[in-house]
Amino acid sequence: MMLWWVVDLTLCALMIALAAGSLFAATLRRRVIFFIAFGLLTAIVWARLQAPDLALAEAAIGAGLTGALLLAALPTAQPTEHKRDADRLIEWVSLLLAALLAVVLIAVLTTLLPVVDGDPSLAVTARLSDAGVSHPVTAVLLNFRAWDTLLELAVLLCATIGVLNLAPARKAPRHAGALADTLIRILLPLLILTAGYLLWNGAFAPGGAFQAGAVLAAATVVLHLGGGVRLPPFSLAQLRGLLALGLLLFLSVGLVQLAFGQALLQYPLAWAGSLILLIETGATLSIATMLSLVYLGGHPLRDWPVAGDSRDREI
Amino acid sequence: MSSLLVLIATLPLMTALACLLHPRGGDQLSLVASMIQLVASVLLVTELPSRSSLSHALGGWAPGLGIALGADPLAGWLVLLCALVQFATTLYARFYFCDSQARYRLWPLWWLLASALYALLLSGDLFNLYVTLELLGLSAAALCTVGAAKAEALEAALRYLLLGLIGSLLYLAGVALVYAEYGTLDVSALRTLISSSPASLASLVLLSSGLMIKCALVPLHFWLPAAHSSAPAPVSAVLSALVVKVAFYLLLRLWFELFTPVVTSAFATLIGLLGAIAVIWGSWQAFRATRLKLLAAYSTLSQMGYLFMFVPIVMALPEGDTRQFAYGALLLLAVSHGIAKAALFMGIGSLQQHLGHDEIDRLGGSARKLPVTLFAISLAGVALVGLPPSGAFLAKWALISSSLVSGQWWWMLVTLVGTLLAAAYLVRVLGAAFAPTAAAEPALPTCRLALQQPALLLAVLATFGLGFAASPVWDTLSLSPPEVQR
Amino acid sequence: MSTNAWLPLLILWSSLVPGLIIFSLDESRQRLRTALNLIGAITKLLLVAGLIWGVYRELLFEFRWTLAPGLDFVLHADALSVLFVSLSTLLWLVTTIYAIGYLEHSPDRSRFFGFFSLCVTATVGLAMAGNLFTFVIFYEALTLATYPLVAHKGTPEAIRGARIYLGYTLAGGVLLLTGAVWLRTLAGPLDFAQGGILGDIPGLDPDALRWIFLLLVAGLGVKAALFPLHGWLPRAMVAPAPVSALLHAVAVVKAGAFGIVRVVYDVYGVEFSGELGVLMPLGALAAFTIIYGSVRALSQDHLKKRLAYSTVSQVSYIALGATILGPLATIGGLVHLVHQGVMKITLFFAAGNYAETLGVHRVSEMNGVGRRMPVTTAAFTVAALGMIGLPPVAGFFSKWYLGLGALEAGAGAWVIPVLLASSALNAAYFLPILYRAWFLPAGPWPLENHTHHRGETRPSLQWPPMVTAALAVLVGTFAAAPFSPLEWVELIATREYR
Repeated sequence: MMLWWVVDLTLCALMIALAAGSLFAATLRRRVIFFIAFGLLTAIVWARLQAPDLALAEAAIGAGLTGALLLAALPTAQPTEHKRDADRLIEWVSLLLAALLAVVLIAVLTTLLPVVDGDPSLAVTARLSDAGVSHPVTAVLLNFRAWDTLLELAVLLCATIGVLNLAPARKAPRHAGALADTLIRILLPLLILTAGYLLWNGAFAPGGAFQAGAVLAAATVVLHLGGGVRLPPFSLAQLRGLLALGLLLFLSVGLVQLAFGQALLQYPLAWAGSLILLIETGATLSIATMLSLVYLGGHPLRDWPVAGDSRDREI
Repeated sequence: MSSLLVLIATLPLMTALACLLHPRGGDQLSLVASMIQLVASVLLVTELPSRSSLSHALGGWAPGLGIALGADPLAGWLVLLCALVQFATTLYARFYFCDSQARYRLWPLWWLLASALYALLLSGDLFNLYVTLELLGLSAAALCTVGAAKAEALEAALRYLLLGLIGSLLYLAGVALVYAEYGTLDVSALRTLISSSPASLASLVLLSSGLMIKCALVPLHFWLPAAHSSAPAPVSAVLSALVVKVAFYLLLRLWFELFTPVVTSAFATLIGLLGAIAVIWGSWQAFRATRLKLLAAYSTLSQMGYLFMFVPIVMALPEGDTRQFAYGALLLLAVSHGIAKAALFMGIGSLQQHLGHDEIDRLGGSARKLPVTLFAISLAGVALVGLPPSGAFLAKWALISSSLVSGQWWWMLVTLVGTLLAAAYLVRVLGAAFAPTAAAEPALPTCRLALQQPALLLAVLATFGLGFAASPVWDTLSLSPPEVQR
Repeated sequence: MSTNAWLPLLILWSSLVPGLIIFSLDESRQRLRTALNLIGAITKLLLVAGLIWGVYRELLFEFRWTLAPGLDFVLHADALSVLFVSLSTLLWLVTTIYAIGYLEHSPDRSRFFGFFSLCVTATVGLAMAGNLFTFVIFYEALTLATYPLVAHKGTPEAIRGARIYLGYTLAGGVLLLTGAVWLRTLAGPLDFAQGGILGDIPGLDPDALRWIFLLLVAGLGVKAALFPLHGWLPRAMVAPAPVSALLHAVAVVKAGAFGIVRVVYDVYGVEFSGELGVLMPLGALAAFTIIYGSVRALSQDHLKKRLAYSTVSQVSYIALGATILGPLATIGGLVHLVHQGVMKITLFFAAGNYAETLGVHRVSEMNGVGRRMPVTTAAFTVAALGMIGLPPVAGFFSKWYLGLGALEAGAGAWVIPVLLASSALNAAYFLPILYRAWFLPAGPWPLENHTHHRGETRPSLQWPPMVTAALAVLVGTFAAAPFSPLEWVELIATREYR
């Protein structure tokens, strides 16, 4: 018991230290590295709070992909910072406000303690047998509150299109060498396998589309960094199709139910498990595509979203 | 009729996907979809009086475990506003972006924004509302960059995005607190649950401040003028007319339906005071603006202020007819401003296309060259200032009258001063446009002039339509006043 | 909806619809535009004739439409509205003909005639407004419709004048709005009724009512050009002559005066306002404005400016009449609404003719214009003599009844001297013009651009002042005939004091 207290306090202290580091470290690069560490630590905290799904997602997206993205976005030359007095003032005011907010939140949260596990979790457990999957988190995400997840997919799609609209993708770095190629050849199938495992696992254990999609996207990142191995060519239409696939499947499955006099997104009990797997598969592919494209920082082909006849590839 | 709700909520998403998959058909798809959406919204509003609210339990799960879509008259009227503005701006955007590649990029985002708007208006779940807010903020920021080449536009869009995220996060923190205390996210259940407590107060403050960033209430307004004035005209129209409006709609729900035991009169007065500052400050900045779009953006700031000034007045009125009158006027003002502001931005877009700039001092001769657009701008201005016979005039009459009835006459003074300032900036524009042609001829337009009719349509609607046919707003509202729903 | 609800609407539409069509017309469609204008004006005249007959027989003409809970849009024709409606309709026809001639070959005519029609629509609506709420709507609409007319020329001077005009009138509109809303919250729907409505409502706070009266009159006084709210009027004369004619004789200034009459007679009730003690200050202000306007007119060399100050002075007769208790003063004030309109429009037509034909804008340039343009100058002379108050021109009767009314109410001691002084001042600023025009040798004209017509100027410019001058003499000479303005006003007065 005592030991856990020590662990928890250390985790809290570390989190605050890392957060401060990611805000105030001397160079931008160091801040990003602090931030990645912060993300990994957050994943551990989630695990400690017995939320393995969140821990997985945080590790894959919060620390992994976001970290890669931030590192890639770092300017090659360290920008010289001219801090004006006004900037400093804003910094101090924001800090003060944040501190105030923290104090107030702590004070308010103490009035809520102890939190009892309320009705909703009971309701979820009670209806889990009707959900088609045995893992409660997946049941909530893909069935009870499927509308939320559907809109979340739309959010991701929106972010991706926003990025694609802005600029072409970054060029791949120099070829990292034969050793890296070998490594990638081993790593790539493993990553894909892991993604498939996580996807399948989602029905009864921590996992699911977001985690699986993130791992798949990690495969793209690895490929891109290696610079040697290339994906087979694909067209703009295929790219757009991949982007839309998850949301399209989700929405179509939901709408088809209307024809049978059911509510939107109401799965028939017998089919619920398979339909959820179908939706998650589509979502995994779309999420992987979206995260990869966001990492690449733009559209990988010459034009976006419609090209004349160019069918070239950049990845 | 709950299938109407499903249609309205999902059609924009389907259109977004269709436009993404089949870009070349985007123009036709968008037009058809916006027409269907308009018809569906009209049906929704006409359907509402017979049943004071509709709902549809998604996935067949009871709200609480699942999420319900729902609409009452307040939501219904705003859905109609969105559909109307969306229809006109879609028509306009089709011609405004003459580069087809820009339109291919536009439509999916355009419809994702629409999805966010409708999903937000129809949602009955606090967390689901957070998701819609995220979608709204992201799609709005992404739309700001379509067709924009200038660095300032990108910078403004980025700032818009970041502030939207901060707003969403504050909102999310508030939602978490509500969930921690009451154990549910369902709005209709929370109506009876929420009582006065430290956690309720804290969550009210968090939720409100998050949303107040999004609807740019002074002093959280600083991002708005740059974002709204640097976006392409059809996007600015939607941002100013709808996006800030739906955030305000959520605030109305929170203040008048959910958190009624927590919202004190001091809180309401503070909100009203901020609104009053917004009215004066926004109008003054609009008067001093050198560019038309900046003027319109600041005008949004001040017009939102009027909406906030209604809050302490409605709170202070006794439940019954007088309160109903003020509440209906508040809704009417929101709708009227939405329509008129969209018309104004579209008109400005046409001017900008024609002249190659939007500087007020160099508008000379445009009244002669683009009479339809100028007429639309003037009519929209009439509706914005609140002169008769516009819907905003009725709303301002109600605002003044209610402020006298509730004994808070100072809001009346602000309204009057704001009205005069608004008239002043309108006259500045019209005076400049009536002036003879400036020495330099306008730059050759890069593409065919966008349609001028959508702006005129909306302006006429705001000025005459809402002025002479607004009483249904009160009729439907009185069937399900917020106090009855509680 | 019975026929009786349609007639007021039709009267409104008979200028609104042509106006809206004209907006959409191409600049070159001159014939169609002219036809639309004339058809609208004549239709309206016929409809108004029907209205006069109906109101005389005490039929009820009312159109009611709910805009918001408790706020009805009401068009209602009573004897007083008929007076103003027929004046504006008749003068609109004449002014339209004049404007068609005046603006020949000038740009933006579609815009001009569109707003011209809207302006008359607003005026007629204001005349038929059945409650204070509807009145406010049309009052503001009138402001908006006239702004583009004043700014029409687009010169910096015109735009500045229009801006000042709009500044004054919108501020006045805000005051009027405040007063109207306040009164609405205290006293209910405020449908106009002869004899007033407030006197019958118990429990009203007299102090609040006095403040509201101040707000209403201040709001209306801006358009009625009561001192010190008259500043816009002399600047607005940069507008084209037909616009000035309309502004001074029919639309804007009259709308303010008409509003004051409405408020005093049909909202407060003249006796109740007397009890509140609000009439005396208003009367004194009106009297002061009468003198002040005339004195300022003396020193103006610019002809239209001199006429503008003359309007400031003359319109206050109407307000003065409203503040004196008793039917005779009511008659004098109300009939001046018509008389001043007919005479002033003649003066502005003539001034426009001088400017358009000879380039003469100033009194000092008018030497001998009478010999060069005898018809126009004759019309000018008739109207000017009427203004001074010489029988049998219409102006005499207004002053006569005002004087009688003042004696009847016991206010003769201060009203009669004001009337006399005003007449003397009128003579002092009009007679020198007449003298110059008829008796001094003709000088070189600043800019003579009339060469190819046989008459002294274009026929469409020459006829309107002749017609209105004849009208001014006719309504004076046949003042006792049935349906003459004077007879009609007596009808109003008997209904008011019933």
